[in-house]
Amino acid sequence: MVVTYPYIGDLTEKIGGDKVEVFVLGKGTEDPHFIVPKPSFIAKLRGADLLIINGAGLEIGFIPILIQQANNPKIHNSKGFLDLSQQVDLIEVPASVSRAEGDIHPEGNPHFSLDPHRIPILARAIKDKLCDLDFKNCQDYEKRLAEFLKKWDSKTREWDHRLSTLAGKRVIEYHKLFDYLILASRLSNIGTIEPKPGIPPTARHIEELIETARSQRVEFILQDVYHEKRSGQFVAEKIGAKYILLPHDIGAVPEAKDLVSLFEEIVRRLTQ
Amino acid sequence: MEVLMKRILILVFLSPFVLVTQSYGLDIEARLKALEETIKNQQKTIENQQREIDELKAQHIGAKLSEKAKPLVIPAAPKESSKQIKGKELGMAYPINPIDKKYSEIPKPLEAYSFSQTKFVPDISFILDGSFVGRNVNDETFKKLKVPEFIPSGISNQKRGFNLNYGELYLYSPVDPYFDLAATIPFSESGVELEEAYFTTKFLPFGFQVKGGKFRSSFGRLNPQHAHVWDFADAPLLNRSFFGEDGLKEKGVQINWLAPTPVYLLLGAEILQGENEASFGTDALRLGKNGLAFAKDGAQQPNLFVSYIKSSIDIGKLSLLGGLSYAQGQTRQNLTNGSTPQMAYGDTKIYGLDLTAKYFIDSYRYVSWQSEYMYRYMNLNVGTDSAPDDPSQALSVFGKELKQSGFYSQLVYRFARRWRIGARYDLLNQNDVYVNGVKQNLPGDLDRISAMLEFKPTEFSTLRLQFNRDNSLFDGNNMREPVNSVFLQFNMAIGAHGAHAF
Repeated sequence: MVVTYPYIGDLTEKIGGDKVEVFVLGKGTEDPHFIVPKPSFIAKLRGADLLIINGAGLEIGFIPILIQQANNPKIHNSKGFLDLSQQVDLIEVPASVSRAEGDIHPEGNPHFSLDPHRIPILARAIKDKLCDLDFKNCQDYEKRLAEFLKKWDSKTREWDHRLSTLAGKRVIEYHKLFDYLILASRLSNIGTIEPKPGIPPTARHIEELIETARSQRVEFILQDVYHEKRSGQFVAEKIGAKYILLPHDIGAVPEAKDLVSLFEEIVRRLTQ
Repeated sequence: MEVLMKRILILVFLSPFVLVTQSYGLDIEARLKALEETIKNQQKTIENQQREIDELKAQHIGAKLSEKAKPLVIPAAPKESSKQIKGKELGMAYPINPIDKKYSEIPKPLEAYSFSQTKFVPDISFILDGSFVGRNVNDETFKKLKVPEFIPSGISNQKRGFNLNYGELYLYSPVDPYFDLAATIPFSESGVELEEAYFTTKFLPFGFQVKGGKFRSSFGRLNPQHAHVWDFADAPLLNRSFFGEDGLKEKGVQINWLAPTPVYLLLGAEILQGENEASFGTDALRLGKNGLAFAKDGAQQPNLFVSYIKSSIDIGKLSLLGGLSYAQGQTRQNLTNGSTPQMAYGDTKIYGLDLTAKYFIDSYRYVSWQSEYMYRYMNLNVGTDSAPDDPSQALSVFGKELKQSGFYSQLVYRFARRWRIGARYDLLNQNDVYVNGVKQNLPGDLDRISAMLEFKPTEFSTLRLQFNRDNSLFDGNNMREPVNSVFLQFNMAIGAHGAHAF
């Protein structure tokens, strides 16, 4: 099976175990919006029994064209295809969309995988899909899911507890990448370094942002690994906020080796 | 809330019927008792539901108030806490279960028109391309320039000053579970064309796909691409020479097979009508005079056969894509130029080799090198009426053999998220033309250099500055005329436009 991002790969492997062979298209160090539709991916998709995507428009720049070229009827219909965004409710669903507002996703914010409370829903959806496709091993998948959920449950409680000290603190992020995490940790989002989604910062926007950040007493600048770092560091320096480089997916930083260690690392970097 | 009200209403309306059927056959007292009992129960149900409604209302107002009280929370946050997460996870209480969600999705009963199909509107996009052109020769002279034996005169209709190159309508949608349909309809100031309109299959097993209709042939690297994804404002000399200004696009059928190999390996074959004017053509020819004629029936139809193989490997951050292509067909050309009727028929073969190497530095930067080489062999019979007004002068007929080749090589560096810079070298390196077996003396060194700088604010808009120094053009007296051009081009897309292939 083929999945678009490392976090989906890890979930699928955790539930599928040795019954599945997973190929991940994107890397944690890459901007998830701009994975290049390389021909080598087409070869992987040709033989796939299942394609799992994040959805909500995040893969719009590469998945449709890859599916068109893969000549694989299995992933052309809903049987061999799973869109995880269909399983969870999304935040920031715009009432109306216009490209004048930058790279807006009509479906809502697609970065829901950064909410630890949504992960079990995704895990369950993947289990259901695997059972659909491979009924005879369903019990095995269910067992693995239960194991995963048990571990995740205790981990989530721990993370919730550790993050509870952050409640109410004000942050700035580069892109609306960490909104679900911000929500889950009861942080308060003051603004983004980019003026509009997908539009690089201008000097004037940064100036205004610094002014707002000062008056709101912003404490953290949340920086992702793939955007330019200068603007974030500059704002952090100007307002005396803590600059935190946060991984958004497995592999974004060396410490994030799987989903558990990804969130472990996020919590560690936030609470350190 | 609405659902709840609806359920109450349904309950109230249904209850008499339920009662009548239930109580049938009982005596009046018993029926009355049952009735009282039922009414009491219903009263209770209604009270409970009313309480629930009140509670929900209170919660809702509370949420709204807290939303107002906390201006710094991002807008969707309060909504999130009250209902956003589906299912019960980890023993936490999430109020909405999936069944309730299903009920709330039942459409409202009073829709004005229930047969609306607007949701099935295909992806529609419109791409506009325009340019400002500066050139060191005037339009009159430029129109007459040609690349000898490669590109006849009138090579480009681009005028100096402002040009509106095209406004292209693009439609795409699944037809049903079995087919997708796409159409490209460029509008120009003089008319509309159906440039591409084709279906593709998506149900065939074993890695096969069939495409049918009118489409750009998959010969080579550049030909299958739309002009708006090119790295430069114009096509390479090579492509324009062998396939014409608009490239090789034909009516026909393509079948391609993706091999079940770990590396990308695509094999394809196309059977095409073969009407392309630059190398092929299907129309019957006739040049007559004094009862003598130079004539040939139309070509076989379909006339053009194309096959190709493409493969790709990744080495770390480097992706390589290469291809071999072959085209073969009959040729029927009306080469009439001005007042001298000339026609040619015969056979043509074209061989192509392409290689693209793209090195990805990070998500936004890359270096791309793309090159393509083609060889064309034409074996023609040419008839000319060099003096159409003089009945005493006979038609001249001769055999003509062409062995021609050329390449382009381009390097593009996306050095920042919104900026690209690039250079291209065009060379038509072989131009061996034999008339009745005698090699013609034709100029060599038909080359051109181009440089471009591109600003791409988003994936939907492009502004490009390009400079060309064209050393391939000759005037009517076979004198070389070096042409320098500057293009300031814009290309913008609106609507739903799918992403492009590698």
